[in-house]
Amino acid sequence: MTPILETKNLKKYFKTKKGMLHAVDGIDLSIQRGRTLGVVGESGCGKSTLGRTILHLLEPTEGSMRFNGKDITKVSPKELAQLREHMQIIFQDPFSSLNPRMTVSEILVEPLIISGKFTREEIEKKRVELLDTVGLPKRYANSYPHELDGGRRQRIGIGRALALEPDFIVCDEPVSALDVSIQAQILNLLQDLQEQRGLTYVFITHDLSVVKHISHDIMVMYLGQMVEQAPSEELFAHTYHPYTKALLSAIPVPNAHKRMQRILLKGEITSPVNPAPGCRFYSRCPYACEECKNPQRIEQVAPGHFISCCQARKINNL
Amino acid sequence: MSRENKNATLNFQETSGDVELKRTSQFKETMKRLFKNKGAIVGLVVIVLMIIMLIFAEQIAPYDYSAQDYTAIYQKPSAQHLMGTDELGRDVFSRIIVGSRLSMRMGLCSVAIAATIGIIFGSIAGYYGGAVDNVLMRFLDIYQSIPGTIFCVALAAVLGPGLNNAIIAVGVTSMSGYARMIRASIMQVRSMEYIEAARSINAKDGRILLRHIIPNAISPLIVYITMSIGGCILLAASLSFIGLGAQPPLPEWGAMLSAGRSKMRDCGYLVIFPGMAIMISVLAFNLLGDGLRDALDPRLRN
Amino acid sequence: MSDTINETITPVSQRESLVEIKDLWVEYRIDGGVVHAVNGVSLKIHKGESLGLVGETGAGKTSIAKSILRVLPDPPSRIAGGEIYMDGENMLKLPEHSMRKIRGKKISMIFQDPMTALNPTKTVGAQIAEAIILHEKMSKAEAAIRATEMLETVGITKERYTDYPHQFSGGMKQRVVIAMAMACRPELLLADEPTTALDVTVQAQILDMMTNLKKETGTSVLMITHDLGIVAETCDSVAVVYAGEIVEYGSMTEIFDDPRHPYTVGLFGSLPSIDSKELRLKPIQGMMPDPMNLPSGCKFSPRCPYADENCKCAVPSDVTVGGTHIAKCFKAGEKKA
Repeated sequence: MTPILETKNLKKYFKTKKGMLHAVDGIDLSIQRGRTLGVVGESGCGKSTLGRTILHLLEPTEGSMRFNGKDITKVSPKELAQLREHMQIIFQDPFSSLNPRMTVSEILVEPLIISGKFTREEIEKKRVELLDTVGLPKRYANSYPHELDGGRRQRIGIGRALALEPDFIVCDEPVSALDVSIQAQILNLLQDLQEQRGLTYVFITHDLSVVKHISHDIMVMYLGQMVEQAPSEELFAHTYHPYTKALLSAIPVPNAHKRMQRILLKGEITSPVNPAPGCRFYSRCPYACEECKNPQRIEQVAPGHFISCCQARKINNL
Repeated sequence: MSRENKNATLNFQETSGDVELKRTSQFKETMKRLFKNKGAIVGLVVIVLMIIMLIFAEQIAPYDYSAQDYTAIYQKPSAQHLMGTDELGRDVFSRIIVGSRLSMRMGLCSVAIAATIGIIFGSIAGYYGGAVDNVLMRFLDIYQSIPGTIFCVALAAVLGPGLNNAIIAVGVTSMSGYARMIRASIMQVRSMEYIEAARSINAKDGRILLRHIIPNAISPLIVYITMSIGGCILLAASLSFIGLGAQPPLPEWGAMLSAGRSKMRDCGYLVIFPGMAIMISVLAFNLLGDGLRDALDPRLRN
Repeated sequence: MSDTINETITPVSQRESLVEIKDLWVEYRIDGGVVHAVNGVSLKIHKGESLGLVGETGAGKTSIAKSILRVLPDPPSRIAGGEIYMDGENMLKLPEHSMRKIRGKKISMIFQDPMTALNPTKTVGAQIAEAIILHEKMSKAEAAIRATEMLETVGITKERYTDYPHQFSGGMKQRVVIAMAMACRPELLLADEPTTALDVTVQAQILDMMTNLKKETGTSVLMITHDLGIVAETCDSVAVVYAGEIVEYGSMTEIFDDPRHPYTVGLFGSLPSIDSKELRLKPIQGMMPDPMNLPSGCKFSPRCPYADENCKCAVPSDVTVGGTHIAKCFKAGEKKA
């Protein structure tokens, strides 16, 4: 099966006054149709940049991308327009991702109007359909975003992403700004839509519990690099990379009796500008050694389970 | 995955405690807030009165503004001449009324010129950013380093006396404020996620600018325009005061002030009434502008 | 690995009461009506206790905390009724100059965004010292020494005394804020979502530091959060807030092991947990009610899967479930989880 999306050595760098910012630094991905890849990491790890680069909202600095087998690393505007009908994005902030001067209906159907391929009747039909699909009551059709709360606004964002019936959606922290009970509603909606339409998601989040719930496979990022990647169950059952271990142990568990053995990291995240070669987690890792200063290779330690750590086998007695 | 669960998420019931839907656009909301502001209402009323006055000037004014009457020069305000007469026996009241046309014209036209030049300038700088922005902004810096009033006077002198030249001078001088304002506004809107969202659904630059950026960037400009009408009226009156701008016998308020200056001791009314007219009209626009700013300010929104 | 959480000898509920809130009502007057933010809240915070105040956005948790310190902006907010006792005095009736002596000294507050408390133009050391001098009779030199000690207590090296806030990362800034808040050894710390804006690994460090600090100083903490995980890790007791009311209260184990109020049950059901194997979350239907237009009867009844006709007309009172555990629900007697 050709993966719906593949990237090889994808890099995105930004030029800053202090030097070159390595936001995304050599990511290899391969996602099958209908599955969700969860991309997890803390601030500065590059996950949002990765999502935007895949969609050509940012241009890749190096590396290649393939969509359904076709190379999309460099695309002409016309090709990009066509591509966008298959690849869409849901943004994190339900407040700033909607034009405050457009009504709900206008926001939902704008993609259809821009594409120019639909008649007025078709657009009207779609409008009603989209409202229903995302669970927005019809009476909100002519409301403005500021009149609705975060959960409903996020539904508008989801509806907009679905308008062109894409196969592939990048979800950039879509529930991080929402309350817990609304979060659950939206997550259920996304899962239902995936099942009904065979959608493929790249689900970007910092919340490990959310990512476990919704992803089939998970990739953990740190300062622009992949540190560990595995199917969801496998990652939580067998965690090998020191950073992933620390990340998992840091999550407060809502259980009166269970406590994680907490691994507290020392120090703070280092700068992604002009990073030293070698493992970027070096300064905070409890297992750091001399070899870690060399560029790390990606190893497969179990079926579908990859890590980037020279000490992993030793630490985990593999 | 059972059916009930699917329905539970897609067709959830609205609770009875939900907000009652008020389908108000931001415009209506802004207007509602504006009308709560007493100062703004006062300003608006005065402006409306001025507009009525200048439309029906011929009907309201008891005398022709240029009608001279040598038998009634320097008359104090009386029942016959509500605001007295000037050195040529012309009725001051009638001149003030007709003069409102000139002041409004100067204020609005010069603002229109300033806003047009400024918006084009600022939009280009704000939208394209980078080197284009740098060059344009440095030019603006140089432009603004020349003191405004002096520049305006010099420009008016070069163009020659006359109302229209004064309007052009004031307009060109004032454009930098608009340029900076719209540039800042556009730069802020440009960084909003909904602009990125528009790109993600294939919107082209033109559509993004017209449909997404400008409607959202225009609010601060509305306030600024309203407030600067007052400033432009004042600047134009100043030009007339020094002899550039409106030429006699035009009853421009600034010119009237200038003419009445020498007789200020004995015939104070010659200076008080034009002065008050200028003051009231500028104040009215400022009050309206203040009210608009408060009404449009999202931070005051609950 | 499953240690008892309360390592102290006296159970929390039997300790002395530090702050007692009695029937607090807070409203906000805005264009278009009155927002009923807090509706008859009664709460006791004991000495040395960590009380978690849990709820979603708009539930009223921040309003409750700000009422204790009387830092609610008046207008538009107004404390419409109730009393808050500390050391036998009703703080709501104290004159402003007495409240100033309490703020920062007896009761301190920290917020989600550290920049609300930090002055970008002053060094962090100077700001901590300033907080000390305001309340304690000390020379500048002595205050500086105490400030340096505070920095080290929160895990910042003393060399950073002369650094400015912008030179610190988010987590470090929050440490500085905690140092400032704890500098005068307050009896009560109000913490309003202090780690929400931080990365999870940084959050773990901060919570760990706060727990140790609390053990050392015996300060009571009112931890406002929407994260039940944080509550489980750091709190002795829990109060669940919904639509301006405390709908459930109890010790941490009582609430987590046996939640009785349908809202609390719903909150647990909404959580995607690392442990659980649920395929679908069980979110609570609908949305929190509009605080300007609260429903009659039980405020949660429109969304409650257990509600009946009675629930929509009558207002439930607190039902004792057992021990210190109470729930504001007609059906509190039934086990739900």
